Amino acid sequence: MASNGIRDKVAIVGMGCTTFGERWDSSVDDLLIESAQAAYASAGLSRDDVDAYWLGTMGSGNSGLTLSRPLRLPYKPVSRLENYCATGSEALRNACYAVASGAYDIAMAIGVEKLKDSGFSGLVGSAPPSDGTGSETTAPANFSLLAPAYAKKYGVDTDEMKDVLTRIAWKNHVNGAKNPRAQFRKEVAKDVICNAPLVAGPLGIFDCSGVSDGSAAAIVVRAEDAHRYTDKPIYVKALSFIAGPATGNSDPDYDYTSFPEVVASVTDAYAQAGVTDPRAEIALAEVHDCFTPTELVLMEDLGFAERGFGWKEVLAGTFDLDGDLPVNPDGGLKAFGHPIGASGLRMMFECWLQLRGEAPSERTISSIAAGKKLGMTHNLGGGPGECVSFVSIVGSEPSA
Amino acid sequence: MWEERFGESVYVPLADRAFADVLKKVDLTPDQVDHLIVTGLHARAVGSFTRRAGVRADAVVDNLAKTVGNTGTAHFGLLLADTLDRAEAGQTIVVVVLADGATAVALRTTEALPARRAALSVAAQVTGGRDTLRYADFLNWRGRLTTEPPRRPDPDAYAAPPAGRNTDWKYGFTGSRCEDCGTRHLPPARVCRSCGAVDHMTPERLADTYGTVATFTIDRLAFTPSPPLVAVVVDIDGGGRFKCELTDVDPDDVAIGDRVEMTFRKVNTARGIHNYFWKARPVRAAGSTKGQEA
Repeated sequence: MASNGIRDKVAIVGMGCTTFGERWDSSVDDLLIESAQAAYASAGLSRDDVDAYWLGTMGSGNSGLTLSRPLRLPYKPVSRLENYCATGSEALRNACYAVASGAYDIAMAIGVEKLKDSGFSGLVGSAPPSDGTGSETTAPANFSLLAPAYAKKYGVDTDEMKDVLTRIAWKNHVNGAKNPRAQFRKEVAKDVICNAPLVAGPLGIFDCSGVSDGSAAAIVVRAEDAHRYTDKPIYVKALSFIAGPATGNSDPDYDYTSFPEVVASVTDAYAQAGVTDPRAEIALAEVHDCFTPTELVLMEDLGFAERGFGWKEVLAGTFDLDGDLPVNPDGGLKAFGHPIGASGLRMMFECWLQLRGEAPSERTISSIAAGKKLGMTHNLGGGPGECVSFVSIVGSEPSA
Repeated sequence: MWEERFGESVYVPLADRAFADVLKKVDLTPDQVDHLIVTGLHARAVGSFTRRAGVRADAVVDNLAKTVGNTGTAHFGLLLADTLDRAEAGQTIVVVVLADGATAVALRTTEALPARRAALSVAAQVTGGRDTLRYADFLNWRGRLTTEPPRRPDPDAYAAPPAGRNTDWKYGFTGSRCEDCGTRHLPPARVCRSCGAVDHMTPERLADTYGTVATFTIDRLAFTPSPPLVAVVVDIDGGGRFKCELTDVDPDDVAIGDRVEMTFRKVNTARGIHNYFWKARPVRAAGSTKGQEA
C-alpha cells in the first residue's frame, strides 16, 4: 500500500487559458474551443494529434459529448469528470495517469464552467432527491466559520483578523490588476474591502472569489517525448487527491482551523516530489483562495507558515508578489475568477507561465530568478469539515 | 362572510348537544366539570357557549386569545397542555371544539399526572416568549406580503422516499451511538467515524438534549423564512455535533458557548410541500432539568 506517484514521468507541453469573467458573448462551446485551440497552438499540435481527453466541469454539461460536440472530435475517447471545485485538477490528474500508464501518447485535460448565465449569486449545485434534513447554508457561510475559530485559537482580535483577511483580498487584487486574463483587473483599496457589505459572518463581498465564466486546457505527454513539442516543458512531480471522511461537521474534535484533507494531500505530494522544505524550495503556489480565510488557513496546512503564525506572515507580506513565497501571483480565485471546472487548470497555467519565464514583466516573481524551479497548485472542493483536496507540484527541470 | 350572529346561531346549539351528550355518557353534571376548554375559530360562538355551559366560573380555561392568539388546529392541544400543567389527579376535563360542527371529549386525570408534568409549562413558555416579531414578517410568513427572495435558486422540495427511510431522524432527531466505542453520531451513521465498526449502533433520541454553540455564522445569502440565516455548530451534551439553523434569536446576540435546545420548525415550502426539521434555539428556562439526562 503506497502512493507512489509518477514523478517526472509526464510533462505538460502546451496550455491555453481564456479570459475569465462575465463572458456574456461566449457559450460553453465557445470557451472550450478557445482554450483548446490555444493549447493545441501552444504545443504545435492539431486536434487530430491528441489521443484522449479528460473534461472537467461541475455543471456546464454532462458526458464527453460536451467537449467532442463543439470540437467535432474525430471519434476520440473523452471522459467527463466532476469533483467539486477541484474538478479541473482532477481532469489533469487523470490525463497524466493515462499518459504515464502508456495507454496514450498525448492527452488533453480541459476544464470549463459557465456560471454567469444562471443569474444567481454564488454557486448553484444540483442535489439528488433528499429527506430535507441537509444544511441550507451557502459556501461563504461554511468557509466563514474558519475566521472566528482561527482568531479564538491563536488570540487574534476581531479587528486584527479583519485586517488579515482584507490584506489577502487586497494582495490578490493587486496581482489580478496585472493580469490581462483576470476577471477583476483593478486594485481595490483596503478600506473599500474592509467596509464592503457583508455576505456571511465577517466576510464581505471582497472576501469572496469571483463568480466567473472561463476555460483552461493542458496537453500532457511522456516526459521523454516532451522536447519534441517545446523547449520548456513543465514536469509533473506530484499529484495528490484526497477525499476526506466528511466528519468535521459532526465531530466535536474538529476545530475549524485546518483542513485535514489538505494536510493529507500536501504530505503525500511532498513525498512524491521529494520536497522537504517547501518554504525554501517552492517558487510560487497557486492555492484555492475561494474565500479569504481559506487562503490564511492554507498557508499553515501547506506548510508555508508555522501553525498560528500564518496571519503574521500575511501581514508581513511573505506571500506578496515580491515576497519570499508568492501565493496566487495571477490574482487567484479572488481576482482571476472561479469558473469551477477551469480553476485547477488556470492555476497550472500560471505555473506554466512563471516557470517558463513567460509571465508579463509586471508580475515576474523574484523567486524564479533566484533559481527556484518548483510550482504548486492547490485546489479544494466542499467546505471546512468535509472537503476534497488536490495538490500538484510541477517543475521546470526533470530530477537529476 | 356572513353576519357572525348567524354562525353563532348554528354553532351554539351543536355545542349544547355535544356537551350534553358527553356528560350523559360519563354520568356527570356541568358543575362537576373541573376544567372546561372551548376552542374554535368562531370567537363569538366560543364565547357564547362558554357562558351558557353551566360550569363553575373557576372551571373555565382561559383560551389564551390575549397572549397567544388562536393557533387554529393546534389550539385545543395547546389549551389541554396548559390545563394539564395545573390539573390535579382525579379531575374531569371537558374539551369542546367548534369546527365545522361540534365535538366534545371528556377526560379524567389519574394519579400519574403530578409526577409527569411537562418540564416547561405552557404558561412559562408564554411568559418567556418574544413579542418582537415584525408585522411585515408575520404577513410574509402568512403569504400575504411578498418580499424579494435572495438571488438564489428556490429551495428543493424534499422527497418522500428518503424522508420515509429516515423518519426517526427527520421527525424524532434520533442519532446513534456506537456499541463498540461509544461515539455518538448525528445524523445516525452505519459506520463509526471513530472506530470504523459497521452496524454496531444503538439509536438515541436527542430531541430533548441540550447543546452548546461551538461556532456560528450569519449567512446573508441563504434562504430561510427568517433571514438572515444564523447557522450554528452545536456540540450536543454527552457527545456528537450537529450543524443547523439557530432560530428565535437576534443575530447580534449569538456567541460561542451559548446553550441551545432543539425545536422542530419549518425549513421551507417548496412546490407546495412544507418541510419541517430541527433547528436550535436558545434554551428557554435556565435551571430546567430538561436535557440533563444525557
